[in-house]
Amino acid sequence: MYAQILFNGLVAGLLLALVAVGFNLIFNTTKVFHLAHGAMFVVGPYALLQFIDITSGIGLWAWGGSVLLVVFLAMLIERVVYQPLARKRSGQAISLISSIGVYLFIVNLISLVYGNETKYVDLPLGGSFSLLGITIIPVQLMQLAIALLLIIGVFILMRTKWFLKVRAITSNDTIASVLGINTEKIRLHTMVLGSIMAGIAGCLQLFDIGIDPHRGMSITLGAVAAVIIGGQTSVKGTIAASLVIAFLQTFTEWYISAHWKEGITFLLLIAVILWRTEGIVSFNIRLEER
Amino acid sequence: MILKVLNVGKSFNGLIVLEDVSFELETGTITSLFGENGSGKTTLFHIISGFLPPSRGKIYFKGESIYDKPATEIDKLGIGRTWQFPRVFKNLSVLDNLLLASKKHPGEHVLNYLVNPFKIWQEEKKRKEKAVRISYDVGLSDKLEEAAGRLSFGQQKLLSIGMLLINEAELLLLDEPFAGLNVIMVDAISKLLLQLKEEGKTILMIEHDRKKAKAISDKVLYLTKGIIREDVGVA
Repeated sequence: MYAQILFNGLVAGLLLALVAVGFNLIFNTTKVFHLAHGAMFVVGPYALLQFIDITSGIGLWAWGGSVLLVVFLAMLIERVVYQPLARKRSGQAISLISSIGVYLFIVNLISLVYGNETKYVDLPLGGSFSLLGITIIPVQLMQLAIALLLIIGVFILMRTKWFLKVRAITSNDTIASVLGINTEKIRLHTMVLGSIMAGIAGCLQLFDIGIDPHRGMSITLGAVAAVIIGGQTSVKGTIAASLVIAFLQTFTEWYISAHWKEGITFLLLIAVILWRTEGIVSFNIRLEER
Repeated sequence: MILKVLNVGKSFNGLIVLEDVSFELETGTITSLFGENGSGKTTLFHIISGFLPPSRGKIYFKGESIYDKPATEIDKLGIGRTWQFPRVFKNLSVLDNLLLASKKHPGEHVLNYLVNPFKIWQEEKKRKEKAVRISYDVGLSDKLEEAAGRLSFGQQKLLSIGMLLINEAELLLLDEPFAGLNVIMVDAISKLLLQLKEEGKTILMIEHDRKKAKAISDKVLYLTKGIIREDVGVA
């Protein structure tokens, strides 16, 4: 029983981590509380559905088309909404409201075109099997493998000079510009990368429990909780917090009720920020420098 | 001669800050720039480093006009500057701050890692070694892994000078390097500046502590009412 819960929690945790790491990268470089991230989570699978229709199959073209659409949309949001606001030095409240506006527009558009019912894609991967007392669905293995690959990719990226620039902008974007770092380019990169991660996470959910236009907001709120709990600037902390949240949600679903899982997540969030406002992983700097 | 400033003037909405500023700096010298608060010293630094365009005049760095070049281009040519309050990345380690200041990493472009990861790895290793060498020069070798925000104010000033050195700046514009520091830190920075001069770097510094600045300067410039007057051979 516990092994089953842990396995389900691991898969759900890695999917949440994809969304949360994407949110982390975007939030830290753009300083936008990017709730429209939830829209990217649903744009990916809906685009995939559309391209499956067009190409008559779930091949490389369908995946490529879906990713390209997410990239295009992410660039559009950054160039048309967030960057102009940043140039005008508008505050975080303004960018948050704009982000909610972008989210509602995209989700309403998807609802209008595709309807509100849940969509699935049934992959011909065979039925469930049992291993060490755990019932495993092949789709879960696929989710596990793709999510792990993407997270390993992020860890490799974290060792590059490009990521050092991301951290520099996170720390202080004005100094970064003074040092000749092209902050607008790096913002665009993280926006695209973070959105691809959310879009792929959405696609992976399409093969399992399915997707509807409104599914993005709850996972984005979970991702926000993971970013805050893990320490806002720490990617590793965000991944660890995503796993903890997913385990907690799976236990809650199993032993209490699925309705309680988000409530429990935010209880955890409140407990952590009361204990450590800056999250679990934080930098130890002088009091007067904070 | 490394820098020539000729009849530079600057006004903001009719308010004249720099009237007619002309001076030259020889390579491998230390020059102090004195003046009352609001006399236009920092404005002059902004103009030389490209953060503000002058209203008129000419500026040459190693014979090349830098009059209308942007700050990033001037930085690449070899003019580096520090600010009155050190501008360092407080959440990043001392080593990361130094690495960020060094320009043109092949690893800046993620695709390069896929094409030639070994070459990039070697290049990054060389840059890291250089950063460690510079940390010894500025006396921060034992703080490499420490967050810059943990350093004292004086150590952050040393780090900002280190960030200019890793970028191989030839002309260093230092805005009040001794301000707010204790005697030990002032001595450490004075010693470092003299060492940099020996290595052929040229230094122009704004300073209010005239005694300490004069002690290491080859030349002193006074900026009064937007006009420069100079004293040579003060050291």
